[in-house]
Amino acid sequence: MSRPADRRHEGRWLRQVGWCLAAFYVALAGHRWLRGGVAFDPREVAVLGGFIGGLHLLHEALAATRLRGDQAVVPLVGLLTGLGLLMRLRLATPETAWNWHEWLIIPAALAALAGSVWACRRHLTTVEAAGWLAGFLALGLLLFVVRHGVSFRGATFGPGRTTPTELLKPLMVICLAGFLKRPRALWELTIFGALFSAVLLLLVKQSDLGMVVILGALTLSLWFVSTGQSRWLLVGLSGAAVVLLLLSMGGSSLLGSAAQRPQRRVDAWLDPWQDPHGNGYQTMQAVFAQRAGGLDGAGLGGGQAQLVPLVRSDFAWAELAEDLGLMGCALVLCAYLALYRRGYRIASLAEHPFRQRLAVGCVTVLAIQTLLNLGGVVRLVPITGITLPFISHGGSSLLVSYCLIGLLLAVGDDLEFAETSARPGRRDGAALATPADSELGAGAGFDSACGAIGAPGAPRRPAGGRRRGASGAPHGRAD
Amino acid sequence: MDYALALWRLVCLAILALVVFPLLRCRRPAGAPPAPKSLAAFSGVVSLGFALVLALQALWALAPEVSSGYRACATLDRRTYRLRSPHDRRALADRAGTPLVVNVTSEAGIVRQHIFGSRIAHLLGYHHARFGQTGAEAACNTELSTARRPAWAILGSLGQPGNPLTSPLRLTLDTAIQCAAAEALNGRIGAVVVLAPTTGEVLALASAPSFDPDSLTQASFRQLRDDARRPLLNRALAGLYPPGSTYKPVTAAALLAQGYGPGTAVTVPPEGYTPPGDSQPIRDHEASEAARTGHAWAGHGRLDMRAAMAMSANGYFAALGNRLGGAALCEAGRAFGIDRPWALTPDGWQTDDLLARPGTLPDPRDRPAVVARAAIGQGRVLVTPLHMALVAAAVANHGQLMPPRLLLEAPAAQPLVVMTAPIADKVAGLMRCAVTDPRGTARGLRMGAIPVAAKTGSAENDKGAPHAWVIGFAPSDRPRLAFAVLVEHGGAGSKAAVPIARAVLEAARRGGWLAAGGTP
Repeated sequence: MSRPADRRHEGRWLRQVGWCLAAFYVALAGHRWLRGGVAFDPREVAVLGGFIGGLHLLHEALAATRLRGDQAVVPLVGLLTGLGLLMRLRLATPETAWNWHEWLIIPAALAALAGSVWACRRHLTTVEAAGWLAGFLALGLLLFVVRHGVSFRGATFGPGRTTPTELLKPLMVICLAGFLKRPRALWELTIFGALFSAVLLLLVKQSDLGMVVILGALTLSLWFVSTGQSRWLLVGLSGAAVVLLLLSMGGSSLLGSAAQRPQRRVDAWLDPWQDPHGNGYQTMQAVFAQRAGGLDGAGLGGGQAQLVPLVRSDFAWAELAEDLGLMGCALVLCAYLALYRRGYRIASLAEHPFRQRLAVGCVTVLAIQTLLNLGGVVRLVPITGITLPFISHGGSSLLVSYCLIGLLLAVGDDLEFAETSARPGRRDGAALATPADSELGAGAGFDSACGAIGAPGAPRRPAGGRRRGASGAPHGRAD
Repeated sequence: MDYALALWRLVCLAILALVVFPLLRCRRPAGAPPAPKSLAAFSGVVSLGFALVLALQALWALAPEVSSGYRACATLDRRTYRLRSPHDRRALADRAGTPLVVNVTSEAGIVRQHIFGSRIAHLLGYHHARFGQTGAEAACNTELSTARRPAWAILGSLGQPGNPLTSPLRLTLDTAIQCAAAEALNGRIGAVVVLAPTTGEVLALASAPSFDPDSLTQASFRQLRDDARRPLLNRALAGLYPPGSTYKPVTAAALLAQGYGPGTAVTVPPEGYTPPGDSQPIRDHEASEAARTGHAWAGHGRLDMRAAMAMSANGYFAALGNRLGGAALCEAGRAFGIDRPWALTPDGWQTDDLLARPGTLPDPRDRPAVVARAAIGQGRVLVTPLHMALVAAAVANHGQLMPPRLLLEAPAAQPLVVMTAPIADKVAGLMRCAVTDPRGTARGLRMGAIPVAAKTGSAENDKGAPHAWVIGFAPSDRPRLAFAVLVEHGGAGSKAAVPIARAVLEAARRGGWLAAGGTP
């Protein structure tokens, strides 16, 4: 058989994602036509079609290289990125020039995903060994940015308005995942502590607080994973709470001028209505956008989210809220949740501790980013200036997110996810149960197979205790 | 196209749901060891975070009004002013369906156009990207704004004759009466309020000087704002004036409730009535007139309440008001809703527009001099023209005060019982005397076959000539409308205000309001 069959579900889901994006594009075209604009722009069709085609190409590449593992990750990432693309197309006005090289980021991101999968899937031990290197690379990168960075709107950018600090995310994930294993010698701890504090200090110096929060949460969660002690999570949460409390009580005077920016953000978070034309303007506009969206939204292209400042990048969610409404946003949140849950499932199935930490790190960075961004838009937490993964307009952020997903897929490579056996209901549905479907689940789901493993219990709900005792090497079974 | 897009909106959401939901199921493969506890916690924390995000977003999307800050800033939403289609904001129409405000497409985009211009400017208000909203445009903004409506509401209106979502919002206004009032006020400074006493419907509410709400520019707005005559002020709702003698029906109602009758007689001497503990006598306008022209005036002599109301004898009501006491007077004022901030919009609407400023009443413990002046509507008593129209309406409606309302489809509010029906009918009889009596101050309102009951007032104030007032209702035997007319510094009510009231009543008669039949 020329075409490997074990990524069939990915292909099917990708086709569904393609149809979904096409449906949204039709809505966008309809709204534009209603307002007297050009409905279908061939360039837009080319961009969207190219993206969907690229996803299928990626799928074919993954299938051809016989990558195994979770098949829903690529469709979910594709769905979210596609929605982000639509949002960008929707915001373009006739005046904005069509910038072809702006769209080069799409093949670049897909290539980054494929590349990181290809580079890491067979070489994860090398990656583990490169932990120290990653740490020092991160430090060097930061020093370079501090030296040559351009300050713009309170953030520091590299040459060409790129954000090289985004690269800190995969680097620090690899570094922390490699380092946080026990036991460690004292000198190692010392050097690592110095490295880590240097990175944090440089970030604070650039007032890149979003990254500080991400790194802090990443460290604590990896620590939590490697030690299994939940108190580290509590320490992190209470630390964040103390800082917030200090700022909400006007503690910036204690911390000096460095805390002015966070102080303003906390003020805008607590009461944006106090200063509706200044500090609270953006938050207030985001609330108006959500209000305008209501339950079912204005339809893609029907809203007026361009009234929200920074709606392309940090406040992309406000646009989704206005166009898709609460119901659409709930569905997009479900997509994020599905992605992250599958990410954590990959982590929990990876038997090697480093792989586990690596996967947890990749997913946690993305999840924290999502939560902080969405929380900022809906006023759950102060605005942190973090982009929304996959949806926000931002080349560096998109590339790095795709790299993290690539790492995640690489970790999941040797794991078997029998997509059909995970859904017993699906097998019962006669209409959908093609012969090919059951072929994959044969190892794990079918009664005979269960019996062979040695758990003669109910086939669809294996008795936990006995199964656990029986399966000494669960992952080797599928091979 | 609207329908197609609304349908497609739902289709898109359904497709998204169909794509996402199957992917949400994520079980561990059978046979895999259970996830470590530490890892299971992550999914839980992320799910919890997303749930919080969604809950908060639901608050902003569905009920942001619970936040007082949002309510204060809601008008800053520029979406309100960016009309992208003529269907984005409903038109306003009067009770007969005559359009009052419509959307027109101009080179500046889609703008609101007031068909009757400055004649209904204050009540309707304006809706302008630069100058914001006032009047009904602001108070009914939620009702008027249709730019965002759920897809199922759009689809539900498919096939219905006259889309209920884009049909005009009907007001209770009667355009003919309103225009007559605005034209009668032309050149004066003042206000006219006309109500239907049995329902509380606002038939006309005019304020002068007025402005053209369609030609607002930055320069003209600044000019309007700085004009000493305050053309932007809606005097019918926001102007507080001493009611003068038009307050005497309230005092009369208090007297009648305390056992005094229309026959209660008091001698009114020419030098006026001096309250105990005061050096300044309360005199009658005849005395002032005589002093000005040099004639002698022998005083009213002994008067009963009918004659006192007809001739507007200050001494009579001041003396009896003092005998009544501050507490009872204050109570009567409160019963008429003088101290209430009446809203023209239904209960529960959070709006600061179309809200009458609450009037003021004397304190029950005030000195007799203050109480005696309050009994004739001077001193501590301050009211808006709407309050006085409501006084006339309560008397006309047999003591039941119907709260004012402007929206034709709004449910009628519960009436307030101001006084018993016999007392109200007696007060109505007294007011009728002011028109029928040969010496009555409101005899300018005799309109042939239509019996009118009215009370004039000339409210003294320290800013200039007295404010001219007249309140009343017609027909007095079966009241169909109640009115209040105010002319700021207009002098005598019988000279300045009565002709305006007459013009309004003539317009109402032409519109069939005062005929024997039903509502026109």
